[in-house]
Amino acid sequence: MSAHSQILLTSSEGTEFLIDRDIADKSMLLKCMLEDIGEIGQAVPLPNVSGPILTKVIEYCTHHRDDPNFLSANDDVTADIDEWDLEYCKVDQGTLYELILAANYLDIKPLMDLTCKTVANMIKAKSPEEIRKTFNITNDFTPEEEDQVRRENGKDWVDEH
Amino acid sequence: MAIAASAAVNGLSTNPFPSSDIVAALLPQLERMTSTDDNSANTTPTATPAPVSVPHQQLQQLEQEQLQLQALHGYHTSSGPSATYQRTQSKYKQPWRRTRPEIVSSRRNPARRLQQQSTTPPTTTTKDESDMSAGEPGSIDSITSGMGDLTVESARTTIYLPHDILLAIFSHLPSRANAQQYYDRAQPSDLLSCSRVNMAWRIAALSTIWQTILLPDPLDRSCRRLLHLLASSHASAQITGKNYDMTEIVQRVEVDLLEATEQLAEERMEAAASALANAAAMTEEQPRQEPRLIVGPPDITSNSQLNNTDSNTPGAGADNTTSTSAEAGSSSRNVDSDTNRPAVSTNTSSNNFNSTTTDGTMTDHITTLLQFISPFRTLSIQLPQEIESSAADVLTRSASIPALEAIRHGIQEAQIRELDMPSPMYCSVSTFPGMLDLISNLHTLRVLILGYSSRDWPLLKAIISLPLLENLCVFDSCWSNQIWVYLFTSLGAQLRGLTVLQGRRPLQGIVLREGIAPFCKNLTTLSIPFIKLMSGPCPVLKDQDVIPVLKTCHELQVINVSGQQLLGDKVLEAMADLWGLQTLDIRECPLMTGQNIKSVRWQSIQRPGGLRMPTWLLQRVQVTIIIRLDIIIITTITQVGSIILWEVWDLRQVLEVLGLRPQRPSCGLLLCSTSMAMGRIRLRWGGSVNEKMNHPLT
Repeated sequence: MSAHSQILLTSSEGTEFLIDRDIADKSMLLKCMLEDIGEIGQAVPLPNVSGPILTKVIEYCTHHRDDPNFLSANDDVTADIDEWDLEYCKVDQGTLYELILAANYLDIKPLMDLTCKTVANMIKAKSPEEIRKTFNITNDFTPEEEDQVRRENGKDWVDEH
Repeated sequence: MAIAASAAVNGLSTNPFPSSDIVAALLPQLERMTSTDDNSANTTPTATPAPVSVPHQQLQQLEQEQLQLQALHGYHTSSGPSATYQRTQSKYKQPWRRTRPEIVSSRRNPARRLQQQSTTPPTTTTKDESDMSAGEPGSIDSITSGMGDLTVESARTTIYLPHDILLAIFSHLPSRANAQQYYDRAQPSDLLSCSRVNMAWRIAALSTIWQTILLPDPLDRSCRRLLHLLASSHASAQITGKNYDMTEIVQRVEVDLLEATEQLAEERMEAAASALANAAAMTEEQPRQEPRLIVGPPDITSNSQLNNTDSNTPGAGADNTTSTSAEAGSSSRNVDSDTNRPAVSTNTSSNNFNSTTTDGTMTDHITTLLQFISPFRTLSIQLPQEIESSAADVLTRSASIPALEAIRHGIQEAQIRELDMPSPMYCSVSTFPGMLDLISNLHTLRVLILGYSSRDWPLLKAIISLPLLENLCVFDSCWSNQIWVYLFTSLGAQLRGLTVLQGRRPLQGIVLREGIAPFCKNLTTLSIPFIKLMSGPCPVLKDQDVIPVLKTCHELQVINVSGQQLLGDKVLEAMADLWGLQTLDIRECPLMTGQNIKSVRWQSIQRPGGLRMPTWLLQRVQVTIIIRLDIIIITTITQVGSIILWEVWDLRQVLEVLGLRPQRPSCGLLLCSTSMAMGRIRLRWGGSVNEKMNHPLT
């Protein structure tokens, strides 16, 4: 299990990706699996990740392959996002969501934090209506529920008392 | 409890509950809202239509339904590594955690959040752009990388985010745990906005908002308003039975003792200083005041200034009330204008009285708040690490006693049975005097999570004096072997649960052999994981230390010896005889191979009908991770026919699933991952999803 060995990954469409072991190790899922079973010479299927998304994930892991603080990079929720990471996350919403799900599935915490933080930044300082518009979310509250929500959210309620 | 709390608050201000008329008026509305309706025309295809006002129990049900919907829509599991990570984080609470900076720092520096908002990337709001991307304008074009092209969405569709993902996203939003932040109008709340988006977002946002309440300053008026809100939801839930009770969402209340005591000390100093200044001013400026006192003679005005500190006093003149409130507000920021207690006046004669009243008010505030936190919730008393060396000094001063007394009183009134007193690692301060009083007076305490580290004998004595204590969690203790043995000797059979997170000084084998094994035979939980620190010691427990405990503690249901790398197969064999074992965590125990185990007596994780775990499975599988109640995680296969089982619910259910295939796997790779939240197990065979193997586990 040398550091320069390569791992073959298969995306959901069957596209194969040959990556270095140290890049694969950025994913805790792959790392644990490879440690457990060793390198069996077969492609590791990743049916929950599409080819393009897997490409993006590999791109991220490749960029951070020599990052010594990889695992603790995004622990600070108040920290700013790195410039490269900022550019990396300039994708459409669908891709961003797919990246979140892929990061979750592959257990790449820094990528998970990065993508979630990006979405969180998109939420900040927005009203509920703006959030709905931004993320194309349908308001499924009834008018009564809306009123109830407004009251329970505190400010109006406090004003009444 | 609600009535008592109401009375407590009534002594200070207006009734925190909505009046019965208001509740009666709300009742039909709440019922209407909580009833199932067919409002499908206004719902998204992915979000579960659900009422806003639902009991807390229904929140979990809603989450389950959403996850099932998610499965139907083909998204992947939401309980992947992130969920596991969160669960692990919550399970292995880190005793060295600091006061969370995102909470405290933002309170101290509210401008920081505004700066963050100003750095928020621009968001498309126009219709055309929003059809393409919400993150960055023109981002569709930027998604082509050198390694391949990404699929471009032609039509924008609603994308469902699983609950766990929403929680992960919301964790990056500014916390609302601080009661002061909750009502700070200068700070728009992103989480509150999220809770108004739709039902799925609301469920995730609410649990994020209310999971932890931080009380850095129990005297502050925002805490009082929080009381109102909690009281309202609690009372409404009690009356209607349908409106959800926020107190049930609250999992943790953190009282920042140091912050509270510092505030109290500051106020006292300010009051004293202003009193001195006022006294000097009174002597000098009294002649100059006379021309201004046109409305009445000086003695009347002076009296009104003395007595009219209560804005609700009947008969008080409106002008006088206003002016007095303004003065009080300027002299003390913690004084509520609507309280019946006298404000912290600048009058010399009322200084001592005000000091006493402030303590009493804090006691009342904490007591009332804790009464609304349901019993058996964890109360966490936070001791910030930043000033660990001076923490003892600050808390030992007179200011510490009222804070501790208030908490003690509050815990007793609220009948809280679980007390969490985490402390930072490497905290070497001596025992706070108030702590001993706090612990020793909680006669009904059953669970004590003691992060507080001390070598002091009085602390040990206080723990031993708790008559009902049955679960003790100690983090990073530096007690000697003699103290440990004495502790177990004293607690003896009453101890049912023991958790020791080892830090600087690992639990030694002699403590297990001579303390736990002979005296604590009723243990059902033994959690002694070893956490490797950067410069810490190595594991020391050996087979001969643990086996006596396993032989004598027959009722053990939960065992966690993860990281104890010296423990081997003999320990595993002893564990195999524990019929009541439900949870076993033996991660990072490389010497445990399970090679010699032919069968186990784990009744509770065996398949009904007497079918035992097949020998071939044990022979071929190294059980390396078993964690969480009824969850078994098997990661290592040693022989041909590799099986990888991740996060499997239950061994018997694993066997059921394996039983679906008549031939055991002989080649290839069988990956089995489950979504615990979905209650499904997914098996992949040969790299493709085998739908027939999808098996509902719940």
